[in-house]
Amino acid sequence: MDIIVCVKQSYDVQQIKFDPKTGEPMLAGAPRKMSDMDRRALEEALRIREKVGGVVKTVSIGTPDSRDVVKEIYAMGADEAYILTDLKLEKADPDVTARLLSEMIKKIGNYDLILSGAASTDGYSWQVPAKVAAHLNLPFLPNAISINVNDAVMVDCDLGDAIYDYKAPLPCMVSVSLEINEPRIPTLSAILKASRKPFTEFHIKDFEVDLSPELEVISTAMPKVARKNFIVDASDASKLDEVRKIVDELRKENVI
Amino acid sequence: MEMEEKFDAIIVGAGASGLGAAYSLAKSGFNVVVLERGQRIGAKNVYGGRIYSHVFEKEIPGFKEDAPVERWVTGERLTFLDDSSAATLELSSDFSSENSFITTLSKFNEWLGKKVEETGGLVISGIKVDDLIIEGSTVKGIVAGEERLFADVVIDAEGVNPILAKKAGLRGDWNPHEVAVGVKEVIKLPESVIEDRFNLNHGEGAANLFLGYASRYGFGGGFLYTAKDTISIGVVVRVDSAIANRISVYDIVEDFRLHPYISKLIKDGSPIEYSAHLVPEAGIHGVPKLYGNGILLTGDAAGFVLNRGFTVRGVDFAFLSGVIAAETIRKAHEEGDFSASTLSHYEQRLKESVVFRELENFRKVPNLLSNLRFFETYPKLLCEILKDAYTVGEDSKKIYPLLKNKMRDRVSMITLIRDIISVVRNL
Ligand SMILES: Cc1cc2nc3c(=O)[nH]c(=O)nc-3n(C[C@H](O)[C@H](O)[C@H](O)COP(=O)(O)OP(=O)(O)OC[C@H]3O[C@@H](n4cnc5c(N)ncnc54)[C@H](O)[C@@H]3O)c2cc1C
Repeated sequence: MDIIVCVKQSYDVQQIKFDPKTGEPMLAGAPRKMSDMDRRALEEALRIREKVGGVVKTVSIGTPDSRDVVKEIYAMGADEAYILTDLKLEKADPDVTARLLSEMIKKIGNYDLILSGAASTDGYSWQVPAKVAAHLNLPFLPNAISINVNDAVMVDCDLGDAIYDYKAPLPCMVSVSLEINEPRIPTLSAILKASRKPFTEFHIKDFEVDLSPELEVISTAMPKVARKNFIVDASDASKLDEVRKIVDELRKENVI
Repeated sequence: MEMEEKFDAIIVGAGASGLGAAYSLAKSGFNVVVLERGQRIGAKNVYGGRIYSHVFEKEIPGFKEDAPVERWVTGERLTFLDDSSAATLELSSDFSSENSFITTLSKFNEWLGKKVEETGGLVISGIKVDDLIIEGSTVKGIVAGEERLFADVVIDAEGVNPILAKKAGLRGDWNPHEVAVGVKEVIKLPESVIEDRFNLNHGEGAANLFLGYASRYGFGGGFLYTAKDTISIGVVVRVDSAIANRISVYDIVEDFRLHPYISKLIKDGSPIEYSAHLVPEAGIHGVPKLYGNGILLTGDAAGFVLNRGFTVRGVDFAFLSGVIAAETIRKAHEEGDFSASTLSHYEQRLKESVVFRELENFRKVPNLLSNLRFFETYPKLLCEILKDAYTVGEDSKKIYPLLKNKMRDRVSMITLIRDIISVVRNL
């Protein structure tokens, strides 16, 4: 079984600081990590390989500072990693991303199954896997919470309203959700072995893909949490009524 | 699981000292690995804000062009604070004197990590070293979780809390008067506002140190550094003093931020980061045994930090001690012997280096700094005298009678003169 997994180096969303004034994320030099659902897709691929044999390859695209993801990919146990990085990809939208990924996959060729996370930890558009499947003309099974393969693929898909059992012929594309598995933590010896393993780099000029995004991001901001900011000067005894009012309010809202 | 591969050196901790050792060894073709328990390089490193550049320029080709410098320090200020006022000494120098710069330590260490990797060393984060493998009295490697890794020599660069060095019998715990706790806040402000407020040209930075109120008149001080579009402020207080004065380290930086002098400087800024860390401050008295069979101790783990009361300097010393450890290991490798007697070269070389020279020069500082007059009496006196001298009332005031009056019951003229002499001699 030849499996290709799409793996993104996303921002470590939990570590990102937001400009308290504008609410914009401060991305310059912000820490990165492998996208959570992609990590589970890779884990799933490795488990399938462990069961039925085969080869696990990965494809990644991003800005040059996302190259480190390869080390993690190899430390988890992938066989071959392919990556394309370019500063021009800073503004890549889901469509550009999906077209480049599918071009890379075509170039690598030879696959039975393509896996990816259902959405990336940072962009969270949920669009890339379906678009990749469309570009490659493959059946697409979204949001898998379990995958079984023999001659075909049997997938439990969580589509929100219910869990659907689907079956698709190979080759096909499956996107996985967070619940599918608990990914392995690479051992030190696996990390050491991985650290010098060579990988293949692709370049934008290898492909005829129009990089101009269809989507324009107008702003990215932290959700505003409205607070009531009600302060009572408790040193003044005449204000006690206000305190009582607050207590009543809080009771009403079941806070206390 | 046993590893077959044996390294030339295993380095515990990816701070400036561990990375300095790794960089220097990797550059000469040694097979080295740095293990860092933080999820990424730099994640666990905390400091004030300024790094002295000399050592880095010497060791890393193209340092100035390549390093993540945010501003070169051109303005130095020392400020004495009382509860509400401030008296400042200021030195502005020109841009050409580039000898210290302001940057974020996590970014700087991340950059050093990249340099190590470029030269062929391995830097692995997210791995905590739990123990040393000691056979007889010789360190043979490390234990991390279930795994064991072997090397000719282990460099212990684990920072101010050197658990492994204790296990190897090189050192004991710090005493409360030998360490300080530092608390720091990073405040975001537009680049141009910072430059206007501190009277800086583009790329220039200001370093401001504080005595008096900052440490609540206990042993320690405050600092302020202007980075590119952030200002770092913080307070360092010796642990014994914090305990004796029941100082809450959480409140102290808050109070410092709200002091009228500071709050003006950081007005309209928004806090984006908060951190706390220990600083060794025993000076040369705190330097432990630096080597054993198969092990060397570098950086904060060895107490290589200079605290002159108004500056804390450790990053360049950490890096240099790593470089000297690397030199020692090259020599040991040539001789094919990693026993304590060969590794003692490390201490010899350190003693000839700026690390020991500076620590020696300031040998008396920890004692001098034990004198509370520097943290309470003098900052308050200075602020009061200047306030009175500049307050225009019925009749003008002469400084000397003012001084005499203010000093009454607080400090004798003899003591003041003695203190001034000891400061001039030792700082
Ligand atoms: C508040 C404050 C202000 C300061 N201001 C300045 C300043 O302005 N200028 C200056 O030059 N110096 C300053 N210093 C001192 C300076 O920060 C230190 O001297 C320097 O960073 C020490 O470097 P190091 O490599 O020895 O240790 P560290 O930077 O502490 O690195 C040690 C590393 O080892 C890792 N580690 C520890 N144990 C293990 C383990 N078991 N397994 C794996 N990894 C481990 C830690 O996670 C850490 O990353 C300041 C310090 C403080 C606290």
